[in-house]
Amino acid sequence: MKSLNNGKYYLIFAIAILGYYAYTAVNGIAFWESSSVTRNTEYNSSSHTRGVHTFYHK
Amino acid sequence: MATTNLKAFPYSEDFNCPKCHTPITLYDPEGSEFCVCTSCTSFLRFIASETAVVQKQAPRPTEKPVLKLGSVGLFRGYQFKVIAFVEKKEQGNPYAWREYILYNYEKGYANFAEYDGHWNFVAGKDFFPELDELKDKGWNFINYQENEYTLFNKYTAVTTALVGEFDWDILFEKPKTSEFIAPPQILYKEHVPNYSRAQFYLGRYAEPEEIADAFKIDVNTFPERVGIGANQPSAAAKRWFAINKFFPVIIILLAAIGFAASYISPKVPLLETTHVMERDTTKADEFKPFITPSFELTKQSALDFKINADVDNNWAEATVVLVNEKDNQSWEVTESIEYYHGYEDGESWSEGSQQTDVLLSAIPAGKYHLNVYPAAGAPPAPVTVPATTSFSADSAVVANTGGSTASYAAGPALHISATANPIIWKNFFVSLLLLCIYPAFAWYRMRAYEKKRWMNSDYSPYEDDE
Repeated sequence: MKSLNNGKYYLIFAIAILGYYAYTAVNGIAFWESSSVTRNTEYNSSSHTRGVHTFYHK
Repeated sequence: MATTNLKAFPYSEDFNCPKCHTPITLYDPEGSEFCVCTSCTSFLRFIASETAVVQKQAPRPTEKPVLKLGSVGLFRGYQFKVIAFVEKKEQGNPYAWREYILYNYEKGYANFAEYDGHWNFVAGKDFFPELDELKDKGWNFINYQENEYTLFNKYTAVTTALVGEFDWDILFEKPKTSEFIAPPQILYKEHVPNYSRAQFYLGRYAEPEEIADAFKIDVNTFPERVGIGANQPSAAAKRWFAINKFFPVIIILLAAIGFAASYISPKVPLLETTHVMERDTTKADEFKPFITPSFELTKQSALDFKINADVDNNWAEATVVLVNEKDNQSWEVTESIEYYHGYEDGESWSEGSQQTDVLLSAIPAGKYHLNVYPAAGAPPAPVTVPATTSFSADSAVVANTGGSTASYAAGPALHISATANPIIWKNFFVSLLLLCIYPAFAWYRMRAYEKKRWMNSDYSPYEDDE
């Protein structure tokens, strides 16, 4: 019980870390993805509309 | 011997000093054999009932006692009366401390020892009968009640001043003392010359507030604490030992979560495709983009792409766009692959790699394909060389084609594989690192505190680290 009391802040922190690690593991979340990844870009910069250039669609 | 096994403090008695005739109060008149006159400081001995003779002139204390003689307090479950105040020092050293002799009507004597504002409640086998089982073996360590006590100090104690009453001849004794610590406790081994057996006393660190509260006095009258006491409890050590208990469990839990997640969401290969980069003849140095077959992601997942290009002393670059075929969301990444090798100054060398990895986080479920925009360096000029390796004058290897003509006009082949639910080791190691930071900090604080504590000892286990 004394140990619990002396280490309570670390325990809370550890539980938070373990919880977040479990959440990311189940949901496929990487703490950091590759730095060069950009989302929803307009490739070729020939389109002025948001989203992907029509070329990408099958 | 102090009067014990009573149900209350005995009545105090007054008698007159045989030298100066000043009244002296005895709080344990039956048990006390020696006392000091508060007026003339004669050290008196009772040789027969109520007959006191002057033994010696006792030095007067240099400091005013914090606890007054005769004051009563309930401390750690025992009623104590302060019956004497003693100043002591180490023989041959200037280190001095003070002791308050406490009398309990059931058990006998205990004392408070105060050094540099650090207080210890010290008692012998009357209070701690297990001490009687300890034997003098000249240890550097003593195991007592599941604690290991480490030798901290050795000295000969000398009484320099005293006031009050005693049941032994304290003024003339010079016990050889060894201190062993296991904070917050301390064991004293005292060997009085001419006595065959050493006596052991157990001390426990006491906070001034605790003593002030027990004896109903103002804590501000206590001397200020200096440095770290020999057996002063360390908050840093408490934290470290608490964390040290949990830490292995937490690490096992972290690994268990990782294994459980990889069991619940196993790795799923989604795509495996190879495409030979095709030069776009309409544009200089450009290759035709291509689209991979579609693949289905059944639940939100991380995606791991491995892009492999069979470049050789060349580079390739691919802009890969992951496209959701339902809502057009896209993830774009540009990766370069370079691989160069050769033979120089008698040694083979290589740099770069033919493969690169891309990790995408939290890709929603859906149907996807990849649009790939490849590029590559200019193909090396076709060369024909003999079957053996040839070297230029500058000792750089140009190529080793085994006697054939190499041609890279079609560009390197690009192999792309995609896997869902990869094990994200970076998540594991970052979590592990975060979980280690505080324990490492707590250990460092604990160690720094202990090093400081042991600076006052000739037996420091940290001496080698200095």
